[in-house]
Amino acid sequence: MELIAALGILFFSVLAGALGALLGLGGGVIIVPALTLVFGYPMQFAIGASLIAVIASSTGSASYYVEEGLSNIRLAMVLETATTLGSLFGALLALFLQQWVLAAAFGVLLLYSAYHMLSRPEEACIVPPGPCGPFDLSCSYEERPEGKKVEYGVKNLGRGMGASLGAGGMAGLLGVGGGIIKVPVMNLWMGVPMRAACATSNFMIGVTALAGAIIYYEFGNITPTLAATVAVGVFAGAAIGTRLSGKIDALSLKKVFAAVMIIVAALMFLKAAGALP
Amino acid sequence: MPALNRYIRLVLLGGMGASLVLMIIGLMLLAARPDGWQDVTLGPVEAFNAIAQGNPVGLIDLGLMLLIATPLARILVALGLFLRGREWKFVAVSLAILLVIVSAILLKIH
Repeated sequence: MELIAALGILFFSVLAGALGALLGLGGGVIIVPALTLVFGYPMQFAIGASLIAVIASSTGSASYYVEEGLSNIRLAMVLETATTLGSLFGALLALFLQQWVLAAAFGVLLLYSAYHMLSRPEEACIVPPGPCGPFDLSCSYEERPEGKKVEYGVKNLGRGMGASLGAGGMAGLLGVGGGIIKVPVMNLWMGVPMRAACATSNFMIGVTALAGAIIYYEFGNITPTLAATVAVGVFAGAAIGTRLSGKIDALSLKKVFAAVMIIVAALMFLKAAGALP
Repeated sequence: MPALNRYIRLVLLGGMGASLVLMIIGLMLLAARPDGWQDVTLGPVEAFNAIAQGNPVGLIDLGLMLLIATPLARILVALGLFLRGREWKFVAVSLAILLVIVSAILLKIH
Protein backbone atom coordinates (compact mmCIF):
# COMPACT_ATOMS: atom_id res chain seq x y z
CA MET A 1 0.00 0.00 0.00
CA GLU A 2 1.42 3.35 -1.04
CA LEU A 3 1.28 6.33 1.31
CA ILE A 4 -1.08 8.19 -1.03
CA ALA A 5 -3.43 5.19 -1.11
CA ALA A 6 -3.24 5.02 2.69
CA LEU A 7 -4.35 8.65 2.90
CA GLY A 8 -7.23 7.91 0.52
CA ILE A 9 -8.29 4.92 2.65
CA LEU A 10 -8.05 7.10 5.78
CA PHE A 11 -10.33 9.67 4.10
CA PHE A 12 -13.00 7.07 3.24
CA SER A 13 -12.73 5.58 6.75
CA VAL A 14 -13.28 8.97 8.42
CA LEU A 15 -16.26 9.48 6.08
CA ALA A 16 -17.61 6.02 6.98
CA GLY A 17 -17.25 6.71 10.71
CA ALA A 18 -18.90 10.14 10.46
CA LEU A 19 -21.82 8.94 8.32
CA GLY A 20 -22.18 5.89 10.56
CA ALA A 21 -22.57 8.09 13.62
CA LEU A 22 -24.95 10.49 11.82
CA LEU A 23 -27.17 7.85 10.19
CA GLY A 24 -26.93 5.00 12.68
CA LEU A 25 -25.08 2.76 10.23
CA GLY A 26 -22.11 0.51 10.68
CA GLY A 27 -19.17 1.74 8.63
CA GLY A 28 -18.98 -1.57 6.74
CA VAL A 29 -21.44 -0.54 4.03
CA ILE A 30 -19.03 2.25 3.03
CA ILE A 31 -15.65 0.66 3.77
CA VAL A 32 -16.09 -2.62 1.88
CA PRO A 33 -17.22 -1.02 -1.43
CA ALA A 34 -14.55 1.72 -1.11
CA LEU A 35 -11.74 -0.79 -0.58
CA THR A 36 -12.88 -3.08 -3.40
CA LEU A 37 -14.15 -0.60 -6.02
CA VAL A 38 -11.74 2.34 -5.44
CA PHE A 39 -8.59 0.68 -4.09
CA GLY A 40 -8.88 -2.74 -5.77
CA TYR A 41 -8.60 -4.92 -2.66
CA PRO A 42 -10.04 -8.46 -2.85
CA MET A 43 -13.41 -8.82 -1.07
CA GLN A 44 -11.98 -10.95 1.76
CA PHE A 45 -9.33 -8.33 2.64
CA ALA A 46 -11.93 -5.55 2.54
CA ILE A 47 -14.28 -7.56 4.77
CA GLY A 48 -11.45 -8.37 7.21
CA ALA A 49 -10.49 -4.69 7.53
CA SER A 50 -14.15 -3.75 7.89
CA LEU A 51 -14.61 -6.22 10.75
CA ILE A 52 -11.72 -4.55 12.61
CA ALA A 53 -13.32 -1.14 12.00
CA VAL A 54 -16.64 -2.49 13.27
CA ILE A 55 -14.95 -3.68 16.49
CA ALA A 56 -13.31 -0.24 16.91
CA SER A 57 -16.50 1.77 16.42
CA SER A 58 -18.59 -0.58 18.57
CA THR A 59 -16.03 -0.59 21.40
CA GLY A 60 -15.86 3.20 21.37
CA SER A 61 -19.60 3.87 21.43
CA ALA A 62 -20.57 0.88 23.61
CA SER A 63 -18.62 2.34 26.56
CA TYR A 64 -20.94 5.39 26.43
CA TYR A 65 -24.13 3.30 26.14
CA VAL A 66 -23.02 1.05 29.02
CA GLU A 67 -22.37 4.10 31.20
CA GLU A 68 -25.85 5.47 30.36
CA GLY A 69 -27.41 2.07 31.15
CA LEU A 70 -28.95 1.88 27.67
CA SER A 71 -27.29 -1.41 26.69
CA ASN A 72 -29.10 -4.43 28.12
CA ILE A 73 -25.94 -6.42 28.87
CA ARG A 74 -27.68 -9.66 29.90
CA LEU A 75 -29.90 -9.71 26.79
CA ALA A 76 -26.87 -8.87 24.62
CA MET A 77 -24.88 -11.78 26.03
CA VAL A 78 -27.70 -14.29 25.55
CA LEU A 79 -28.08 -13.19 21.90
CA GLU A 80 -24.29 -13.19 21.43
CA THR A 81 -24.27 -16.98 21.83
CA ALA A 82 -26.12 -17.00 18.46
CA THR A 83 -24.40 -14.05 16.74
CA THR A 84 -20.86 -15.35 17.45
CA LEU A 85 -21.77 -18.76 16.07
CA GLY A 86 -23.27 -17.16 12.97
CA SER A 87 -20.24 -14.90 12.54
CA LEU A 88 -17.84 -17.85 12.81
CA PHE A 89 -19.67 -19.80 10.11
CA GLY A 90 -20.17 -16.68 7.96
CA ALA A 91 -16.43 -15.96 8.01
CA LEU A 92 -15.55 -19.56 7.17
CA LEU A 93 -18.00 -19.49 4.28
CA ALA A 94 -16.53 -16.19 2.98
CA LEU A 95 -13.06 -17.75 2.78
CA PHE A 96 -14.33 -20.36 0.34
CA LEU A 97 -16.73 -18.24 -1.71
CA GLN A 98 -15.65 -16.66 -4.99
CA GLN A 99 -15.21 -12.88 -5.28
CA TRP A 100 -18.26 -12.43 -7.52
CA VAL A 101 -20.58 -14.19 -5.06
CA LEU A 102 -19.44 -11.92 -2.20
CA ALA A 103 -19.72 -8.81 -4.40
CA ALA A 104 -23.27 -9.76 -5.45
CA ALA A 105 -24.25 -10.54 -1.84
CA PHE A 106 -22.90 -7.15 -0.78
CA GLY A 107 -24.91 -5.49 -3.54
CA VAL A 108 -28.09 -7.09 -2.16
CA LEU A 109 -27.15 -5.91 1.35
CA LEU A 110 -26.69 -2.33 0.08
CA LEU A 111 -30.10 -2.36 -1.61
CA TYR A 112 -31.74 -3.64 1.58
CA SER A 113 -29.86 -0.99 3.63
CA ALA A 114 -31.13 1.74 1.29
CA TYR A 115 -34.70 0.46 1.62
CA HIS A 116 -34.34 0.18 5.41
CA MET A 117 -33.00 3.73 5.60
CA LEU A 118 -35.92 5.18 3.65
CA SER A 119 -38.68 3.15 5.29
CA ARG A 120 -40.53 4.62 8.25
CA PRO A 121 -39.39 3.05 11.54
CA GLU A 122 -42.12 1.23 13.44
CA GLU A 123 -42.13 1.40 17.23
CA ALA A 124 -43.32 -1.63 19.17
CA CYS A 125 -45.18 -1.68 22.48
CA ILE A 126 -42.94 -2.05 25.53
CA VAL A 127 -43.23 -5.38 27.37
CA PRO A 128 -43.64 -5.15 31.17
CA PRO A 129 -40.68 -6.53 33.20
CA GLY A 130 -40.78 -10.28 33.88
CA PRO A 131 -39.07 -13.57 33.02
CA CYS A 132 -38.40 -14.52 29.40
CA GLY A 133 -37.87 -18.27 28.96
CA PRO A 134 -35.23 -19.40 31.47
CA PHE A 135 -33.86 -15.87 31.97
CA ASP A 136 -34.95 -12.60 33.52
CA LEU A 137 -33.74 -10.09 30.93
CA SER A 138 -35.73 -7.12 32.26
CA CYS A 139 -33.83 -3.86 32.29
CA SER A 140 -34.36 -0.13 32.80
CA TYR A 141 -32.82 3.17 31.75
CA GLU A 142 -33.44 6.85 32.26
CA GLU A 143 -34.83 9.00 29.44
CA ARG A 144 -32.83 12.22 29.07
CA PRO A 145 -33.49 15.08 29.73
CA GLU A 146 -36.81 14.32 31.49
CA GLY A 147 -35.20 11.79 33.84
CA LYS A 148 -38.16 9.42 33.37
CA LYS A 149 -37.29 5.80 34.19
CA VAL A 150 -38.24 3.31 31.45
CA GLU A 151 -38.60 -0.29 32.67
CA TYR A 152 -39.12 -3.08 30.18
CA GLY A 153 -39.13 -6.86 29.81
CA VAL A 154 -38.23 -9.06 26.85
CA LYS A 155 -40.37 -11.59 24.91
CA ASN A 156 -39.91 -14.03 22.00
CA LEU A 157 -36.35 -15.02 22.90
CA GLY A 158 -36.37 -18.01 20.52
CA ARG A 159 -37.23 -15.87 17.48
CA GLY A 160 -34.66 -13.31 18.58
CA MET A 161 -31.97 -16.01 18.81
CA GLY A 162 -32.81 -17.26 15.30
CA ALA A 163 -32.58 -13.77 13.82
CA SER A 164 -29.34 -13.14 15.75
CA LEU A 165 -27.82 -16.23 14.16
CA GLY A 166 -28.63 -14.73 10.75
CA ALA A 167 -27.31 -11.28 11.73
CA GLY A 168 -24.07 -12.87 12.96
CA GLY A 169 -23.75 -14.83 9.73
CA MET A 170 -24.12 -11.60 7.75
CA ALA A 171 -21.46 -9.93 9.93
CA GLY A 172 -18.92 -12.70 9.36
CA LEU A 173 -19.75 -13.10 5.67
CA LEU A 174 -19.86 -9.43 4.64
CA GLY A 175 -17.99 -7.52 7.40
CA VAL A 176 -20.93 -5.44 8.64
CA GLY A 177 -22.39 -5.05 12.14
CA GLY A 178 -25.79 -6.57 11.37
CA GLY A 179 -27.69 -3.82 13.17
CA ILE A 180 -30.21 -3.58 10.31
CA ILE A 181 -31.48 -7.03 11.37
CA LYS A 182 -30.92 -6.93 15.13
CA VAL A 183 -32.45 -3.54 15.92
CA PRO A 184 -35.87 -4.14 14.28
CA VAL A 185 -35.97 -7.71 15.64
CA MET A 186 -35.27 -6.58 19.21
CA ASN A 187 -37.76 -3.73 18.92
CA LEU A 188 -40.64 -5.31 16.98
CA TRP A 189 -40.40 -8.99 17.99
CA MET A 190 -38.83 -8.81 21.44
CA GLY A 191 -40.46 -5.61 22.74
CA VAL A 192 -37.23 -3.76 23.58
CA PRO A 193 -37.59 0.06 23.37
CA MET A 194 -35.89 1.48 20.25
CA ARG A 195 -33.12 3.38 22.10
CA ALA A 196 -32.22 0.33 24.16
CA ALA A 197 -32.39 -1.92 21.05
CA CYS A 198 -29.90 0.34 19.19
CA ALA A 199 -27.55 0.48 22.19
CA THR A 200 -27.78 -3.28 22.83
CA SER A 201 -27.16 -4.07 19.15
CA ASN A 202 -24.13 -1.76 19.18
CA PHE A 203 -22.81 -3.45 22.33
CA MET A 204 -23.13 -6.89 20.69
CA ILE A 205 -21.32 -5.94 17.50
CA GLY A 206 -17.80 -6.04 19.03
CA VAL A 207 -18.01 -9.66 20.20
CA THR A 208 -19.92 -10.74 17.06
CA ALA A 209 -17.28 -9.24 14.75
CA LEU A 210 -14.52 -10.71 16.93
CA ALA A 211 -15.51 -14.31 16.10
CA GLY A 212 -15.33 -13.54 12.37
CA ALA A 213 -12.22 -11.35 12.64
CA ILE A 214 -10.26 -14.19 14.30
CA ILE A 215 -10.93 -16.38 11.24
CA TYR A 216 -9.90 -13.63 8.77
CA TYR A 217 -6.78 -12.89 10.88
CA GLU A 218 -5.75 -16.54 11.12
CA PHE A 219 -6.11 -17.10 7.39
CA GLY A 220 -4.03 -14.01 6.53
CA ASN A 221 -6.87 -11.79 5.31
CA ILE A 222 -6.17 -8.97 7.78
CA THR A 223 -3.09 -6.88 7.07
CA PRO A 224 -2.08 -4.66 10.01
CA THR A 225 -1.48 -1.44 8.07
CA LEU A 226 -4.77 -1.57 6.16
CA ALA A 227 -6.86 -2.65 9.16
CA ALA A 228 -5.26 -0.08 11.50
CA THR A 229 -5.69 2.75 8.96
CA VAL A 230 -9.37 1.88 8.60
CA ALA A 231 -9.90 1.46 12.37
CA VAL A 232 -8.24 4.79 13.27
CA GLY A 233 -10.15 6.58 10.48
CA VAL A 234 -13.53 5.15 11.50
CA PHE A 235 -12.92 6.02 15.15
CA ALA A 236 -11.98 9.63 14.27
CA GLY A 237 -14.94 9.89 11.89
CA ALA A 238 -17.36 8.62 14.56
CA ALA A 239 -16.12 11.33 16.93
CA ILE A 240 -16.69 13.98 14.23
CA GLY A 241 -20.12 12.55 13.32
CA THR A 242 -21.26 12.56 16.95
CA ARG A 243 -20.37 16.25 17.23
CA LEU A 244 -22.15 17.05 13.94
CA SER A 245 -25.37 15.24 14.88
CA GLY A 246 -28.12 17.73 15.55
CA LYS A 247 -26.43 20.32 13.32
CA ILE A 248 -27.15 18.44 10.08
CA ASP A 249 -30.57 17.53 8.65
CA ALA A 250 -30.34 13.75 9.11
CA LEU A 251 -33.47 13.06 7.01
CA SER A 252 -32.10 14.78 3.88
CA LEU A 253 -28.73 13.11 4.45
CA LYS A 254 -30.48 9.72 4.68
CA LYS A 255 -32.21 10.28 1.32
CA VAL A 256 -28.95 11.31 -0.39
CA PHE A 257 -27.04 8.43 1.14
CA ALA A 258 -29.75 5.90 0.22
CA ALA A 259 -29.40 7.06 -3.41
CA VAL A 260 -25.59 6.70 -3.18
CA MET A 261 -26.04 3.17 -1.77
CA ILE A 262 -28.25 2.18 -4.71
CA ILE A 263 -25.57 3.43 -7.15
CA VAL A 264 -22.83 1.59 -5.23
CA ALA A 265 -25.01 -1.56 -5.21
CA ALA A 266 -25.21 -1.31 -9.02
CA LEU A 267 -21.39 -1.03 -9.15
CA MET A 268 -21.05 -4.10 -6.91
CA PHE A 269 -23.35 -6.04 -9.27
CA LEU A 270 -21.23 -4.90 -12.22
CA LYS A 271 -18.13 -6.09 -10.35
CA ALA A 272 -19.84 -9.41 -9.67
CA ALA A 273 -20.63 -9.71 -13.38
CA GLY A 274 -16.97 -9.04 -14.25
CA ALA A 275 -17.68 -5.70 -15.93
CA LEU A 276 -15.46 -3.87 -13.40
CA PRO A 277 -11.90 -4.78 -12.37
CA MET B 1 -23.97 2.43 37.97
CA PRO B 2 -24.14 -1.39 38.54
CA ALA B 3 -20.77 -3.17 38.95
CA LEU B 4 -21.31 -5.09 35.68
CA ASN B 5 -21.71 -1.86 33.70
CA ARG B 6 -18.87 -0.12 35.57
CA TYR B 7 -16.25 -2.84 34.99
CA ILE B 8 -17.27 -3.51 31.37
CA ARG B 9 -17.08 0.21 30.60
CA LEU B 10 -13.56 0.35 32.08
CA VAL B 11 -12.43 -2.65 29.99
CA LEU B 12 -13.87 -1.14 26.79
CA LEU B 13 -12.36 2.30 27.41
CA GLY B 14 -8.96 0.89 28.43
CA GLY B 15 -8.72 -1.54 25.51
CA MET B 16 -9.90 1.03 22.98
CA GLY B 17 -7.57 3.77 24.27
CA ALA B 18 -4.46 1.58 24.45
CA SER B 19 -5.02 -0.02 21.04
CA LEU B 20 -5.68 3.35 19.37
CA VAL B 21 -2.50 4.86 20.84
CA LEU B 22 -0.41 1.90 19.63
CA MET B 23 -1.95 1.96 16.13
CA ILE B 24 -1.64 5.74 15.71
CA ILE B 25 2.02 5.79 16.87
CA GLY B 26 2.78 2.79 14.62
CA LEU B 27 1.10 4.38 11.57
CA MET B 28 2.91 7.70 12.13
CA LEU B 29 6.29 5.97 12.48
CA LEU B 30 5.56 3.92 9.37
CA ALA B 31 4.62 7.04 7.37
CA ALA B 32 7.93 8.63 8.39
CA ARG B 33 10.00 5.70 7.10
CA PRO B 34 11.67 6.10 3.72
CA ASP B 35 10.91 2.51 2.64
CA GLY B 36 7.17 3.19 2.74
CA TRP B 37 4.27 0.99 3.81
CA GLN B 38 4.48 -2.73 4.37
CA ASP B 39 1.45 -4.94 3.83
CA VAL B 40 2.60 -7.89 5.92
CA THR B 41 0.71 -10.02 8.39
CA LEU B 42 2.50 -10.83 11.62
CA GLY B 43 1.67 -13.36 14.32
CA PRO B 44 1.80 -12.45 18.04
CA VAL B 45 5.45 -13.57 18.50
CA GLU B 46 6.53 -11.94 15.23
CA ALA B 47 4.89 -8.69 16.33
CA PHE B 48 7.03 -8.52 19.49
CA ASN B 49 10.15 -9.41 17.47
CA ALA B 50 9.28 -6.65 14.98
CA ILE B 51 8.92 -4.11 17.82
CA ALA B 52 12.31 -5.18 19.22
CA GLN B 53 13.81 -4.58 15.76
CA GLY B 54 12.23 -1.11 15.59
CA ASN B 55 9.67 -2.08 12.93
CA PRO B 56 6.48 0.01 13.42
CA VAL B 57 4.35 -2.73 11.81
CA GLY B 58 4.91 -4.69 15.04
CA LEU B 59 3.43 -1.82 17.03
CA ILE B 60 0.43 -1.64 14.70
CA ASP B 61 -0.09 -5.40 14.92
CA LEU B 62 0.07 -5.27 18.71
CA GLY B 63 -2.55 -2.50 18.69
CA LEU B 64 -4.76 -4.63 16.46
CA MET B 65 -4.40 -7.65 18.71
CA LEU B 66 -5.28 -5.50 21.72
CA LEU B 67 -8.35 -4.18 19.89
CA ILE B 68 -9.44 -7.71 18.96
CA ALA B 69 -8.84 -8.85 22.57
CA THR B 70 -10.98 -6.06 24.08
CA PRO B 71 -14.41 -7.65 23.43
CA LEU B 72 -12.96 -10.95 24.65
CA ALA B 73 -11.78 -9.27 27.87
CA ARG B 74 -15.24 -7.89 28.51
CA ILE B 75 -16.71 -11.43 28.29
CA LEU B 76 -14.11 -12.61 30.83
CA VAL B 77 -14.93 -9.70 33.16
CA ALA B 78 -18.67 -10.45 32.87
CA LEU B 79 -17.98 -14.14 33.57
CA GLY B 80 -16.05 -13.22 36.73
CA LEU B 81 -18.86 -10.94 37.95
CA PHE B 82 -21.57 -13.53 37.19
CA LEU B 83 -19.53 -16.15 39.10
CA ARG B 84 -19.19 -13.79 42.07
CA GLY B 85 -22.94 -13.11 42.00
CA ARG B 86 -23.73 -16.83 41.58
CA GLU B 87 -25.77 -16.08 38.46
CA TRP B 88 -25.24 -19.58 37.08
CA LYS B 89 -27.40 -19.18 33.97
CA PHE B 90 -25.33 -16.20 32.84
CA VAL B 91 -22.11 -18.03 33.77
CA ALA B 92 -23.25 -20.71 31.29
CA VAL B 93 -24.05 -18.03 28.67
CA SER B 94 -20.58 -16.43 29.08
CA LEU B 95 -18.91 -19.84 28.79
CA ALA B 96 -20.92 -20.62 25.63
CA ILE B 97 -19.67 -17.39 23.97
CA LEU B 98 -16.10 -18.16 25.06
CA LEU B 99 -16.45 -21.67 23.63
CA VAL B 100 -17.35 -20.26 20.19
CA ILE B 101 -14.43 -17.81 20.29
CA VAL B 102 -11.95 -20.45 21.45
CA SER B 103 -13.25 -22.73 18.65
CA ALA B 104 -12.48 -19.95 16.15
CA ILE B 105 -8.94 -19.65 17.55
CA LEU B 106 -8.37 -23.42 17.48
CA LEU B 107 -9.75 -23.89 13.94
CA LYS B 108 -6.51 -22.84 12.26
CA ILE B 109 -4.37 -24.91 14.60
CA HIS B 110 -6.28 -28.05 13.63
